[in-house]
Parts: sequence; structure tokens; C-alpha cells
Amino acid sequence: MTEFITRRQLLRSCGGGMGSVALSALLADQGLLSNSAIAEGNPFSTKQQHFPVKAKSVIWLFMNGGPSQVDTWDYKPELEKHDGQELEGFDKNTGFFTGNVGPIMKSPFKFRQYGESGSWVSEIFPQMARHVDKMAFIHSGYTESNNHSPALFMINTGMKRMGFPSLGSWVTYGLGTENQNLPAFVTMSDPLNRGLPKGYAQNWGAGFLPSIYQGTWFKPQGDPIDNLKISGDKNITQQRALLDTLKDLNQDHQKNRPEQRDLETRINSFELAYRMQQAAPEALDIQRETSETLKAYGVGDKKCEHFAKQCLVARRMVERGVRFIQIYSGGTENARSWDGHTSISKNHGQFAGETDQPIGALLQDLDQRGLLDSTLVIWGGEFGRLSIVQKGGTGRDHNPHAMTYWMAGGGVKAGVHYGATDEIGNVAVENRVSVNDLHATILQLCGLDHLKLTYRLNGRDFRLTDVAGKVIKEIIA
Amino acid sequence: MFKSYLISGVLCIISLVPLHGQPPEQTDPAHAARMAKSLHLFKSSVRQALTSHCVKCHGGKKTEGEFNITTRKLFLLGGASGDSFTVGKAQESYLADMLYHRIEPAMPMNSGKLSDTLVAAILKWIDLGAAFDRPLLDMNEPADAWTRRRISQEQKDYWAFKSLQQTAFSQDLHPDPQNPIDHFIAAGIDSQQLRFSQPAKTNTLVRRIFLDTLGMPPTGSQLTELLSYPQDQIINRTIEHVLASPHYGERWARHWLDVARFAESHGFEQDYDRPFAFHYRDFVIKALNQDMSYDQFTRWQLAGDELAPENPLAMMATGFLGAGVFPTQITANEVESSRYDALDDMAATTGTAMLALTIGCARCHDHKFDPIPAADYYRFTSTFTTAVRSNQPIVMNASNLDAQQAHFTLEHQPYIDAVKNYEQTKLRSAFEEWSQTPQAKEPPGWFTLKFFDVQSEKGSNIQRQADQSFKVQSDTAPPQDAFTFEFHSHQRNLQALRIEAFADPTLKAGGPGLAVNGNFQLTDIHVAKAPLSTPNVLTDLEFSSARATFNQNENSLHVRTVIDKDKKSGWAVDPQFGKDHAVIVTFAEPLDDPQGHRLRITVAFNGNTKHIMGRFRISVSSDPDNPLLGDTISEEVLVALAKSPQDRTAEDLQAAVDWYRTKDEGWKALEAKRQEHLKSAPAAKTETVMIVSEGVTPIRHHTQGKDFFEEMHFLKRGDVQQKVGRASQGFLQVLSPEQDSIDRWSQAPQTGSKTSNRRTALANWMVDHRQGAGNLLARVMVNRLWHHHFGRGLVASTNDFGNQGQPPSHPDLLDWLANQLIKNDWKLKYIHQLILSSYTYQQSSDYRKADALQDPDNQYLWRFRPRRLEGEALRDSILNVTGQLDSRMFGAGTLDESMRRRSIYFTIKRSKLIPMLQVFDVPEPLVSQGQRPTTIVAPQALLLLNNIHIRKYCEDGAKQFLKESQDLTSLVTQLYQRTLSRQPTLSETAKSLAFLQQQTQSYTDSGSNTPEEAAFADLFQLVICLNEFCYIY
Repeated sequence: MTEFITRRQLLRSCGGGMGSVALSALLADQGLLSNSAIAEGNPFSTKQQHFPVKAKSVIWLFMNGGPSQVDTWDYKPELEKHDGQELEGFDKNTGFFTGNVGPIMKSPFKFRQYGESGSWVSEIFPQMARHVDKMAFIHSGYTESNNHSPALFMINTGMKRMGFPSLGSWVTYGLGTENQNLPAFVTMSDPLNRGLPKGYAQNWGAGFLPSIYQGTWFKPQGDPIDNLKISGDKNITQQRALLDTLKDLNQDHQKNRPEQRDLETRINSFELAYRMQQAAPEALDIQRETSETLKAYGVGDKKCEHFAKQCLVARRMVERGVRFIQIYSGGTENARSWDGHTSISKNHGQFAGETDQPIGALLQDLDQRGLLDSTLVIWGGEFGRLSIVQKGGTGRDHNPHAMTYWMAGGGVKAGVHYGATDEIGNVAVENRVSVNDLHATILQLCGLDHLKLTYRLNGRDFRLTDVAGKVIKEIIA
Repeated sequence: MFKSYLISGVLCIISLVPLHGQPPEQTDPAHAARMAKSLHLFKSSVRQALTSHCVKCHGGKKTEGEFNITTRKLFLLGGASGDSFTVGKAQESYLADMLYHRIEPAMPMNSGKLSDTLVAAILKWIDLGAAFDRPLLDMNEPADAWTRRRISQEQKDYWAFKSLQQTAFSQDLHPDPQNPIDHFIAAGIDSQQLRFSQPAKTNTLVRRIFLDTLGMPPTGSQLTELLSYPQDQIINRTIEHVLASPHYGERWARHWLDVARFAESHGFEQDYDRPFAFHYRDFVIKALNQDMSYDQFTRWQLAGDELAPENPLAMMATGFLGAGVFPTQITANEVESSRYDALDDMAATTGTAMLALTIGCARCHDHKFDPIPAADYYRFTSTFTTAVRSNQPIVMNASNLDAQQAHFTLEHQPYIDAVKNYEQTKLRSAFEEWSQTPQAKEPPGWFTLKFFDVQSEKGSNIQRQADQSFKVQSDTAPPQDAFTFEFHSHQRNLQALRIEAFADPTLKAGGPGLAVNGNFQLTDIHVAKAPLSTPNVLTDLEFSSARATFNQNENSLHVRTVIDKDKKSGWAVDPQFGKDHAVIVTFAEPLDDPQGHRLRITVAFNGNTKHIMGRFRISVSSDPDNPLLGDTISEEVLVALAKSPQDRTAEDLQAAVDWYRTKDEGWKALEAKRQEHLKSAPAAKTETVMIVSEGVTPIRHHTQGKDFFEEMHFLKRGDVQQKVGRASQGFLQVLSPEQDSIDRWSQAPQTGSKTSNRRTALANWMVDHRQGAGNLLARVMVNRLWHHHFGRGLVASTNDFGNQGQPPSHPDLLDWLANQLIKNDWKLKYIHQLILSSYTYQQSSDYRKADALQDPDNQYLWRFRPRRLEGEALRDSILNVTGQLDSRMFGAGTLDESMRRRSIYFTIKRSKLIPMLQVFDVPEPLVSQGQRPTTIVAPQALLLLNNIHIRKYCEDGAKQFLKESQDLTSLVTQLYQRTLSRQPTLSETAKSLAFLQQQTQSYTDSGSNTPEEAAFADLFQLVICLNEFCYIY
């Protein structure tokens, strides 16, 4: 193929120089090559990047439902002072329950400072608090919807509307993967029967990118990955014999078609499948960890065991070169997730309890194994919560105007705080960070230029960041 | 396209140098001519390019590199520094290098390179003097000027917007083309010094035509039959066969469903099902199979409800507009923007699917590459303003129901006549005879009263039946109701009243009540009486006791509560549903006025929801001990029977005979025959269908606001907060005559019509190949057909015929085919037939190095391009070759992966796409998709190796196979024939047999009870994994 299309032509065809990023799929879309030629390139092969890669892998700890910034990482002494006062000029349509607008409510939790950075952390995160000097906090995040599913789509795909590729899909499309034996992009959802995040699989969908770039959802019950177990009464020897004859006959067929390199790719895909059968169960088997490690993550502690196991799997995936891992804490909505409408202390207390120790252990573990430098860990949800109380309880309604994200490892500056909300933490006011900005920054850390990572569909070059996005250089080391 | 952001972070960092030289002297005699040419270029393409790609950063929102291009004077000043261009030598300039992307910064920055033609035009324009007719930006433009923006005539000068060229084709014969398609292809092949390939082998070609056109290989017997024809007929027979096969519609409907972003759920948060959306899929299959003209196919999808509301297919077709996603939970401040998103989905999909134009890109600004102003977007989109999804009952056999019913009426008349004839002759004498018997002297103890009126307190629909019972219409009944009847009686000594409640198989649990479980609760009976001598002096009748067939309990649901003072408690019969029940209340004192009585009887059902009797009858008796479920007669007949025959009036006799006939065997036999025949009466077959229409009840979501708005507005930057006046309907200027009026396509709605006929106007414009979009419509469709037959369209970008798409590789052929489509009544099968019978299509797929070097991409079609089967075709083929295909068509689909119907009958639920299809590149149904990528990844291999369903097909197929013969060699031959449409080679047979032997031994060793079956299942599975099985050659 390289005989016929020069690198220069390729650059042009890609609308401005993104190298061989997702070469095959891109060419297919533009009709530059026949389908048979497309398949010559492995869509998951490791690809060239726009920048040096700082984060080889990403673990996104997704606090589903919308964690409250003022009760977690965005300490606001003024909130306590104004507790019980009406918030003047508040637009009652800001949250979801427009008829339940109450006065300003202080946090039920105590805060204190940690680390050399002196970062304020809520008492519900004693373990994560030990790692604040590894984290870069963004306090000025905002999004565009006050409703779970549009906000979930926004934070995952950059668009409020359904149908666009998720961040994980873009990253794997852009970078490929370093372990062909495992899925490149993995999603884990709540294993306690509390449901999927709203919008379901769209949150890790590939949108209009080739569907192979969608996240592989590890089913919380039963076999986590489809078709890994040999079916029928075949054993491994019998399968091997089948594969050997298959290869033999396929090679006979291919002899007359040397130009059709996709045939060879396909022959190899069976060998790869054979290896995946062994590699994936091994990667998922946390019983291979030492008892100290299991204990450190919280395996054995009923309160947080489920999330601990997922964090451990994530680390094992990272070790094996998986590109992008997303873990959802909590299920669909309300009491099943971080969606603390009725009681912040009860709701956030519970979900902090489920996640704090596993996340603390994960950061510690990655650091000790020397993986943190090349692994970007992201913490956050789809939006923040209001600084006022939701009438009828002691909870808070949705707030698209302020949310806190933190990132650690993977090339972020350690122990910094970027942006700020107003004095009661209700609206991002200083160095506001849009979802597009956040995505641009994450892509940059992965070595991808958000302006150049494009995919052409129906005549338009689409980007994760649409027509916006600014890299937050201040938090990059 | 989707958001209201300004471009930020997309900066054109350019530092231009001052002009190297000055413009040519004004005295140059050729100057005027050059400037005129330059101006022509400016108007035809350069202005549009500069406006779309350059001026924003160079004189618009900013002036990068101090290079302002808004006027000629400023343009010629150049930028801040350096050497950018010289008039007369623009091709060699720094500017040219940037525009050609030969150096950095490449221009335009971050938005794709301009076409070489366009760059050449710009440079030429400079060389000719850089003429402007007016500045690029008018700073004094009013804020709403964009809503009136007109495109220039020059902007229509683009291949896709032009009328179809009546192309003549070369008469040279290459190599022996019978088919005009080959003339066009031969011209290209000649021009590139390429050669056509040899024809493909016959069985390869038969297999190709099957896989391509039906999505499955021929079965063994189909192949044998076709190959038995004389050699020169085989292919034509094959083409005839596939185009007549119902599998054709199933195969090609799937291609269109990608384009229509079809799915059967709403998407978003809950992804609720659209259980009646599958009718659209069935419409597409049926339309293709019956070779519906493509213009009608198009029109019905846009406005079938307006154009042919009586035709169920036309109604089903409107599902096209409603197939997109829509949020199910919408907060107050997202109501309006969600509706605009829904309208955008309809407009954008219509534009892409039918015209391959990205109309949706003009939502926030004028289209960046194509001449579609944002004004056009809003006017076009306003077509759909009041169109909503709705689930409607549709009579599926409406088209011939009237004729069938008329025919039946004629057929039925003799049965009626026979009954009537009998009644007027034999029945009377039979009655006279019977009335002399002792039974006639003992009429039933219960009789119904002379009826005058019934009133429902809450407005139920209650109707008196022939047997004197009263029926309450179930679906419109209120939760509670009470009925008041007016009766008269001339009988004496009335002592009890009975209410019978009748079972009814059409009610839940068979009734007798209308409640969801079949229950009722009779809360009160009240009787007001008056002697007929003083009918207005009503007094209450007292009851002494009550009894019933069954009591639900001994307390609040016992029959005694009917006559107590508590109006809420009452008699009920759970769980004895599906049978008749009755209550008898005994009067405290007999009614015995010789003048007769007026009785006003109120029956109340004030208990739980719809705990109302579905059909009940009121009768009275002089003996309270008469049986609860005993026979009933009417007072009228009772009186008639009591008379001696000579005293009976004609009315008495009629009433008595009418009552008597149900006891007469002769009458019963005739009536039974009539009833039996009536069962064959043609009935309307009604099904619920999800349609899109206007004036119908929209499918309601969790919305904190309206479902739709009556008016559409121009939105600045697509933002609902920035409305700029109302948008009235219009179509694309670029595909309309100069004088833009939509009147020529509009039809006033009929009086009383619920719809606006705006979509009818759109449909008319869309198919109008003289004044409207019809030419492009035809081009786009023939290109889609070409794309699926050859793996690549004549225009490779099947969903984008605009400037960002690919130009046609064979423009003359494209136009010729489009012309053929229109001339042949828009029949798609005609085009398929043309393509399939062309030499071009029938070439071998063999590779030749020399030609491949010249045309590596096979753009000129010097061979057939091999390609892998899509996910659906692969699965369907596996089902077919293993003999496991369930070929039932149509109807609701399923998510159950063990289904064995064709893949098109899987339900498409957006959050639960079928994994085995997804892994083979089946796209997410979110926006229109014209082409699918083909990827090769390990999960596909895992699926074929390990999926339990695939394995089961192979096992079941192997079992059936092994029954056919004991001879393994012959079985291997058959297997090859059936799966690969050819005989195995000697080596393949040997390897297959060795494999069978090895696996049989291995399964025996591992303790299998059926080692031969397992081994053969393995061979089956091996063959379906072969590359040869998965590719079209």
C-alpha cells in the first residue's frame, strides 16, 4: 500500500497531518482504498502520536450520578456562614427538581488539609486524602446539561446528544493498543445490581467510529467477556486441531491471492483469538494477587469489595498494556448512585465508603510499581451539585455550573489546584474549564492533538472537541 | 453543526510578507479583459472559498498576520512581512505553497485543504488581477440578513446540482460489451491502458450474485438446478432467480436501514422500546420486493400519511422520519432545544439519505463547503415542524377490504333468506303446535319488564341487547358508574328482582366485570315505585333479603351489603370469573297494583376502578325462590302466551314466535348455518403502527414541557435563545429554480385534514427531476446500488455528494444510470438487472500485477473487487448452509440471539445491539450511514470459534448431514458444494477426511457419546471460518 500512497498524500487526505492514525478506517471512509486493502492495517496496531505520550493508559474512575464538589474536594468556609440563607438570584430551573429550591446548605462533612500542597479534603476520603500531592485538581469544571443522560453523554463524548464516540473510543482509535490479546478499551459497571449509568452503553460507544473502538463492557455477572470459553464439548486440543487445519486450508486459498493481505490478517486473527482465550482470564484473575495487595484494596471488606476488585482488575489491565479503562461507581440514579437528592451525608457517605480505600490503594499500588507516571487516573462524574438544599431533605440537586475533577499520574502536575468556584462553590468562576477543555487536556496527555484527531463522516471531519477545546497547560507537568 | 460555539483555538498563524511587486499598469489594453475574467472567477468560486475558509481570521473576527482580505485594496497590500505573492506569478508564491499544503502553516488552518481546482482558481484569479465585485464582509449587514441569504447562480455550477447529462457512450466494443455500462467502463479502462479481466468462473459468478443480491450463497439444490441450464443461460437464470426471490428485499432493506438510521428504541436515558416501529422495516422489505418505484418509495417515507393514508404501506413508510433518537427525559430548559434536535434529525437524515447532502451542517452557520445557507436549513427543516411520532391503529388489509366485504354480503344473503323463509312458513305452525303442549302453560319464572329508558350517571356507553340485557362498552367506561332504568309492568304480585351478570370471553378473565381481573362490585340496588295511575308519586321499595350465586367474602363483599345502607360496600365474586352470576333481592312487600307499576331501578357500581358489570339483565318474578340462573322471558311474551290463540294480536304472535324460535330445532339448524358462514366474513385486520404524522397524539416522554411547537424559528448559531423571526417552508435554493417559490410543489390540504401538507410539498420537490431535486435523488440512489454491488460507489462517498465528498469516478455513467432509473419508472430492479448482467460485474476477481500497479485501487474496474461479507450476511449464510435458517418473514423482531430467522429480524434496541453483529462492524443506528467499515479483529474469530449459537448451528447441521449418507467422502463433497458452491479439490478432500478422522478419535478419547457428530460439527465450523466462505469473489 505504501507503494501507492505516499506519506505526504496521506497527510493531506487526513486534513492536516495526523500521521498514520487509524489509517485503515480513515481511508475506508474516504473511499481511498478498497475494503480489501483496508484490512491490511490492523486497526488496533500501535500508532504514531502527535506528541510524546505521557499517559500510556488511562483509568477513569467515574463517580456516576454527580458527586457534590462542596462536600468532597472544593472546601468553602463561606458555605457554613451562609447556611440557611436564601440564595438570591438563583434560577429555579438550574437543577432537576425545579419546585424544590431550598436555602444554602453547609456541608455535613468536616474538612482538613492534607499533604505538602495543603489540599482541603472532606472527611469521607481519608485514604484518597493521603495522595493529594499526586493530584491535579480542576475546581472550575462545568457542563451543559442538568440532566443525567445528556450530561453523561457530554462528559463521555463531548456532545449532549446521543451518538458520538466516547473519549475511550477516540483514544484507542488514535493510539491503538499495546496488547493485542486484550480489549483496548474496557468498561466496568456496578456489580451490585444497581444498574448501568443512564444512556447505558452509549456512554462507552464508538458512535460513528468503527464499532471495534467501542468499550468492551465487562459483564458484572457471568463471563465478563463474550465468547472466551470454548463452546460445545470441544476441548483445547480439539480446538487447536481445528485451528491447524483451518490455517492450512486458508493458506492454500491465499496462495493464489498474495495481494490480498487482509486474508493473512484474518488468518492471524484466529491465532490472536486463541491467545486471548488464555490471556483475558489471566488478566481478570485477581486471585493471583498477594493477600497483602487484596487486603490493601479492600477485598474482603464487604463495604467496598466490589469496587476494590474492579480497581485491581484495572491495575492488572494497565500492567498488560490495555489503553483505556473506565469504572463506574454506582448504578442508575438516586440512591443507587452518587445522585444525592435526599441526603448528602447518607448518600455520599455510602459511596465514599465504597470507593475511598480501593482508589487510595490503586494510587499507592500504581506508584509503587512505577506505573503511575505512565497511567493517567481521572476522578469525576457527569456534573456537580448545588450549594443549596433540595427541599424536602438534606440532599442537593444537579448542578451543571460547577464540578471538581482530579487527575493523577500520566504526566499531570502533582499537587496543584486549577480554577475556582464562587465563594459558596455553586458556579465555576475562575479559569472555567469546559468538558471540551478537559477532553483536549486528556488527549494531550495521551499524545494526541485534539485538533488533529479527526474522523470524516458524511462530509465532515469530526473531533472529540467539536469546534472548541483548550488544553489546560497549567496542570501538565 | 451541532453547537453554538465560536471557533476558538483554531488560529490561523500566518505571517505574510509585503507584496513583491505592484499590480500591472492600468494602461495595459488586455487589463479590462483580464479583470473581467478575474471577476468571473471571483463570483463563481473564489468569493465562496475566501468567505468560507479565510476571511474569518483575515479581516473578520481577527486579522491574523495583519493580512486583511476583505477588500481588493487590503488584499493586495498583503500581510505584515515577507514575500507572499506576486500578481502574475501566484503559482510560485509562498501563498500557493501554503494553500497546496507544501509548507507549514498549511492554509486554511485546521479545516482541510481546499481542492486543487479551487486553489488553482484562486491563484489564477490573483494573476488576472484579483478582482472584487464588492467587499467580502459587509459590516453594516442587519442581524437577520442571514435569514434571507441567496446563493448565486455560479454556486449551482457543480456536478451534483446540474441536470443529468444525456451522455452518449462510446461504441467501441471492449471486449464484447452487450451492456451500455461496459461502454462507459471500457472508456476508462482504455484511457488508463488497463485491460478487462476474463469472465469469472460460472459457479463463482452464481455464488457472487447470490451473496451480493440475497446475502446468502445458493443452496446445494439451487446451485445444481441453475448449473443444469445451458451454459449461455445460467447467469441470466441466476439473475432472474435472485431478483424474484423474497430474500432480495431482506438483503437490500438492510442496506437502506443503515441509511435510515433505523432502530426500535428511543435511545438516551431509558432507551424505551418502540414496539411498533418494526413496521417500517417491513415496509422497506415489501417495497423492494414488489419493486416499488423509487420516487414513490421516497415520497411515502416523507409524507405517506398525507399522500395515501388509506394504504397501510404508505403509513408504515413514515416510520423513516421517526426512526431517530429522542430523549425520554427532558428537563424544562431543554424542552425546546430537544425538539429542534428532533427536527434536525429528520431534516439531516432526509438530506443525507435521499440527496447525499449534509444539510444538517448548516444548522449553526452557512454550510462551510456546500451552497446551503443556514437560511435554507431552517426553511427546509420547518417542513417537519408539527410532525410527531405516534402509535396508531392501522387497518392492514384496508386496500381490498371493501370489495371483499361487498362480495361476502352477496354470498351471505341466501343464508339470511333461508332463515327468514323458515320463520314465515314452518316456524309459525311449529309454534302453534307447541303452544298446545303442557310446557307452553308453564313459562319461565323470571321475566323482563317493558323498557323505556336508561341513564348513565358518569357517561358510560350502555346498549340494550336482543336478549334484553344491557352491555357497557369496556374501553370507554369510567372508573365508577350507576345506571338508572325506567320500566313498566302490568303484572301483579311482583315479589323479587334479579340481576344476572354474564360472562364474556372478550373481557379479562372472561368477566363478568370490566375490572382488570374480571371482577365487579355491585354496591347498591335502589328501586322507586309508583302505581301507573299516579306515575309521579314515587316511593322507595324496601328489600327483605338478598342471595347470590357466590360471595367473595362474608363481610364487605357479601351480597347482603347490596341492600344495606352503606353505598360503598357491595357484592363481588373474585375468583369465580368467566361464568355467569346473579343476585336476587326479595321485596319486603309484593307489588300488586291492578293498574300496573312504574319502576325506576338504579344499579350502582361505586367500588374499585371499573368494577362494573360488562353485560347484565334485570328481571322480576312473583316467586323469590325461583332459581338464580333460571330461564327468562319478556313480559310481552308472557302476556302473549297467556292468551288463547284466537285472542292473540299480530304483535302478540310475532313476539311469541320470536321468543319461541330458540326452542325450535329447524330454526336453530338454519340459524347455526348462517352464523357459521358469518364467521368467514372479511374483517379489518388492525395493527398498531408507529407512524409520523400531524394532528395525532404524540408518543409522550418524561417531558417537563410540550412535545412540539407550532412554529419554527430561525436560530442564530442554532441556539434556541437566539430566535430571529419565523421560518416559513422552503427547500434548497441550489436545487430549485431561480424564482424561489414552493407553490409549484404545494397542494392545499383537504378540508378537515389534520396535516399541513408541508411534507407532501417536500416529497413533490424531492422527486421532481425537472425543477426540483429529482436528478440528484436518482444519482444518489443508483450510486448506492453500485456501491453495494461493487463494494464502492461511482461516488465513493455515498452519503456526501457535496464538495467534501469524492467526485464521481465515471460521471457520465452515473448520469446515464440515473437517467435510466427515471426513464424506467424509477424501478430499482431494472438497474440491478443492468448492473448484474454487465461484463464489468461479471469479470473475474483475479489479481494482475501490471494493472494493479497502474490502478491499485481498481478505480477503473479492471477486475471485480473481492470483499468480505457484512455481519448479517455472514450470519445468514451460516444459518443457510447449516440448514438452520427459519425463513419466516416480517413481524416483530427479537433480541434473543438464538433466533434463527434472518438477521434483519433482530430487534434493534439502541442500548442492546446484537453482539454477534456488532463485532462485525454493524454500525450504531444513530445517524445515517452509507458505508460500513470492514475491520478484522480477534473478537470476530472468537465469535466464530466459541459462540454457543454458532456452535449449535454447526452441531444441528452436522446431525442432519450425517443422516444423508454414510460415505464421508461424499459428505465432504456435499459440504463444499453447499458452503463454498464448488467441489473440493483432491487435497481438500484428503485434508477434510484426515481432520474428521482425527477429531472423531479425539472425541472418542475424551468420552463423547457422539464423536462422529462432534467431529463433523467441527468440520462445519472450520469451513464457515474459512476466508473463502466469508468473502465475495
